[in-house]
Order: sequence, then structure tokens, then C-alpha cells
Amino acid sequence: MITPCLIVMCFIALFVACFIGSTTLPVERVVAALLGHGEAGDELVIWSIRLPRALAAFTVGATLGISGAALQGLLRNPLAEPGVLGVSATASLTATVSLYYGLATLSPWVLPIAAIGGALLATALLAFAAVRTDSVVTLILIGVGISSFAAALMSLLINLAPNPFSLADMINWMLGSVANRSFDDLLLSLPFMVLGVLILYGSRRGLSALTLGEEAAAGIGLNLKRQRILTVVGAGIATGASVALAGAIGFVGIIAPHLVRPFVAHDPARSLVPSALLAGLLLVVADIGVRLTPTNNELKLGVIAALIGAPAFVWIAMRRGRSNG
Amino acid sequence: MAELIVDNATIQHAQQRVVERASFSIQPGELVALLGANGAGKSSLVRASVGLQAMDAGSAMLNGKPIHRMDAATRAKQLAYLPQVRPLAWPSRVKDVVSLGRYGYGAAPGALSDPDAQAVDKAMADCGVLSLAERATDTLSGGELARVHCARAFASNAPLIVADEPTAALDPRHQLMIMALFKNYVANGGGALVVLHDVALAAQHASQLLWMKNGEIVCQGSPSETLTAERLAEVYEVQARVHGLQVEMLEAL
Repeated sequence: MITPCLIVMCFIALFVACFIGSTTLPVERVVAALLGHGEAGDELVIWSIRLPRALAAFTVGATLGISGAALQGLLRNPLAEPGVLGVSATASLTATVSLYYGLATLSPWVLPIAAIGGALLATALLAFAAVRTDSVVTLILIGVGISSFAAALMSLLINLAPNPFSLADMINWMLGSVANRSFDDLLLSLPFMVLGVLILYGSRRGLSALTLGEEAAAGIGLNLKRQRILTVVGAGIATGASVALAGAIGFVGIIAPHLVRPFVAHDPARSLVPSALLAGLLLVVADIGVRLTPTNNELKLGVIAALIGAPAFVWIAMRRGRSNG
Repeated sequence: MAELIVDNATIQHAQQRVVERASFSIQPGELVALLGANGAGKSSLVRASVGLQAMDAGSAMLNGKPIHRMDAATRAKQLAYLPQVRPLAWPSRVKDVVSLGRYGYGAAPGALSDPDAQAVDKAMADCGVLSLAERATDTLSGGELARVHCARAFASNAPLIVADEPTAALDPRHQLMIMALFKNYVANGGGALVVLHDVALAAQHASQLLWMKNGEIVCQGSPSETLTAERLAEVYEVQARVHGLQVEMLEAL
């Protein structure tokens, strides 16, 4: 039931995102432009600015949402998120490196490729660790280590930034935003997003088995190592691609699965698709909010997500602490 | 005919032998109880016997094949394993937890074929949890949850079951209910190995007792043959009085 509702709401949100902006277009002009027989100016606004931006917000949210839901199922912890295994941080780092050395000015493709490369590096490390350890706690700690190290290197780069322009560039990008994204940007990340999402969706059944704990899950016929690798690699690729498109946007991967779970009887496998849809919806709506907020500098989507997400994270953690002792 | 044969199992942890040349078998129609003091190596032996932990020497053969090399789903259809009960990660529905017993057949909660659904319903009915089917597991009592886990194991329709302390932390009534479930399973042609802490409960229900001490199986046989005051002194270091299958624990030695 929840999935069809969310699909309808996502379409409504994407449509609304197309007619809200610096100039609000009437609905009939938006529809005409979307169908390809509107005025030239309207079509430019819709197809070059608003629709790619809204779709970028949706795909970034969706990949973060499904990655969060899958990692929470794997680690059996509602506080896990794409950032927890250090994939976002590593992707941010390699993207920042490409900015720092001016490589990103060579071609618009360098930055996204660098982010995806960083994400794959982190996932490869994690996949290697996942084969060697039987402990989820160890895997989380390795992720925390990777994350901290990437953050330290990032601080070093900002500390040593050669000029205020590259510093501003880095910070802008690290805050996380989908402003000024084109269909070209979207198309470079999309194949990786789809690949990651398909891996996660294809391996979702094992996440239900892990509800019982690892030993019992193995007992009912789950291949534990294979499950760990598929989830870690799928979430890594999807997350890396989303960082490439929008920078670091946190917490949406924790909040969406948390809200979805009661509607799917707390089954991790059945939470994946609705979590993706809800996270996509949340970011599209949050980005509409960003565009409507009358501030001198446009607010960054990642900042809004963190302002709402971080208190929610603490609230979830405290509730969990109370019920689990 | 399904059978599990463990031969000379030896397991080491950090240079220390936790299981030493343990041999036993589980056959259809047999309810085997594994007894021993804390730290005797029961759980290690059980995990290795079901193929989830490597042996340093010896073998565990399920229907003539080495169990640790079997595909996890194939093994699960022949042998259901109930590890010591740990909290569930999520407040799942009872029906969904029992459905996970069909995992080896490709089923998932909410995606059951007709045979899967029938097996799940039958297992829930057998274990008396049908009325709890839609309840969230975090609202159940310990005794109810233990029966849900048993139903999950029975739902696999596996001819063999290995259960590690299925009666732990249960009151006497629920212990007896769980043992009745296993006896019923065995009476219908299944074979079970159950780790138990309660000697009297084991003597009353099991057809075979395996006595384990310091990683070795020191004795095995029927309760009437092997249950003696000397055995309890040797294995548990307690002074006890034994009348037939009745056990009276007196004091620690």
C-alpha cells in the first residue's frame, strides 16, 4: 500500500518542483513545456533548469534512502547510513582532491569520476574486510576509521587551500546541493546509481534473514559473506554516484527507512523500495523549500537536510537506547 | 534417510582444545540431549556439527556429504538449526519470523508459495502460536518467543533439527511445552539434537544422552544406562541422588 502512495506523491512533488521558482509558471504552461509544445523560454526553464534539478534531488535521495535501508538491514542497526562505512567521506575526499589540484577545471567530467572512484576505493576496502571478518562491529569500526581518515585528509586540504576561490569551491560542493545540475551531470551518475540500486534490490531477501541474527541467518540458509559483499558494494556504488552528483547530503538515509519501517512490518527487504521513494520525495520537497527561502545566498540542500536530520538522528538514537537498554 | 554423523570432531581456539575427538550421530526418531557444564564445549561442537564453524580435525557428514562444504540453502532444507536465542533486530511479525524458516526454499516474509504458506501455518499451529501470527515479536513473553523460534525451525520441514538451549530462561511449564514439541517432532520421524542444562528434563524426554566434559564426550547412551550419581559428579561436579530417572541435586563438590 505504501509504495503506490509514495509513487503518486513523488510525481506530484516533481511536478510542483517544475512550476515553482524565481518566476512561478502557471500549470498549463508547465504541462505544455513538459510535453514539448510550450514557449521556447518555458521549455528552457523546465528542461534545462527545473526538471534536471528536481530529478537530481530525487535520484540522490532515492539512492541514499535505499543504501541506508540496506545497510541498516545488514548491520541490524537503525542508525547505520551510507556515511557510516566511510564511503561518502572517501567520495568527498577524492572529489575535493580533483578540485584542489585544479583537475576539475580540465573537464566537467573529472569531478564526478573522481567521486565515484573514491567510493569504489572505499567499497573495495570494505569488501576486502567483509570477507575477512565475521563481526559486524568490526566492519562498522573499519568504516568509522575510513571515514575519519578521509575527513582528516579533507581538513588538511581545506587548511592548505591555495586560494580563496578553490576554498569556496570545495566548501560549496561539500555542503551538498543540486543547484545548476544538468541532464548531462545526471546521466553521468545515473548508470552507477542504477547498478548500485539493482545490486541492493537483488540481494534484499538476505536482509530479512539477518533479522534473526547472523548465526541463525546462516542456519536458515543465508550465505553470509556473499550477502555482506553485495550490500556493501551496492550501497558503495550507489552512494558514490549520489555524492558525485550532489556532494555530501547526510541523514536522509537514516530518516526515510525509519519512517517507512512500521508500514512494512519492520521487514528490511520490504523497506528498500519505499525507503528509496520516501528519501527521494523528502529531498525534492526540501529542495523546493531551499528555492523558496528568501535568503541572499541560496541555502544548500545538504545544510537543510542536516539541520532537520541531525536532531531526528539523536531522537531515534535515544528511543533505541530506551527500548534496548 | 536423513542422518548427521559427527566423527572425531576436534576444535581449537587460540591453541586451546575446546572440543576433543567428539563423535555422535543423529538419526530419525531419536531425541539426543547434549549435556555438560558451562564451558564444556557444547556450543562449539554444535556449531561445527551444523557446518557453521570449521573443525580442526574430524568430520560432520549430513546424508553422507561433508556439511561444511554444502550450499547453505541445501543444508538448511535437511537440517534446521536453532542457535541460542538472541534478540531480534527488528520488531517483526510472528508470521514473518516463522516464514524465515522457509528461506532455504527461496521464500521471504510476504512472498510465500503455497507449500511455504502451508508449512508455515502448520508449524505455527503445532507450536500453538497461530493466534499470535500478526503480533509483533517485541510484545511476546519469553515462552511465546521460544515457541515462535521452534515454529520457525519446524516450518523448514527439515528431517533433522539441532537446537542450542531452546529451554534457556523459561519457566517449568514452558520448558515442558518446548520439550513436548521436540518429542512430537521426533515421534513423527524427525531426528533432533538438543543442548540442555536441566538434567532431569533431559532424562525425562531424551532417548539418548551425550555427556560432555572439558571438550570430550565422556559417555553416551540411554538415560537409564548413563544417568548415575557418579556421572553427575564427574560431569557437573555436583553431589546428587538418582532414583531411576529422577534426579535430586544436593550440593556442589
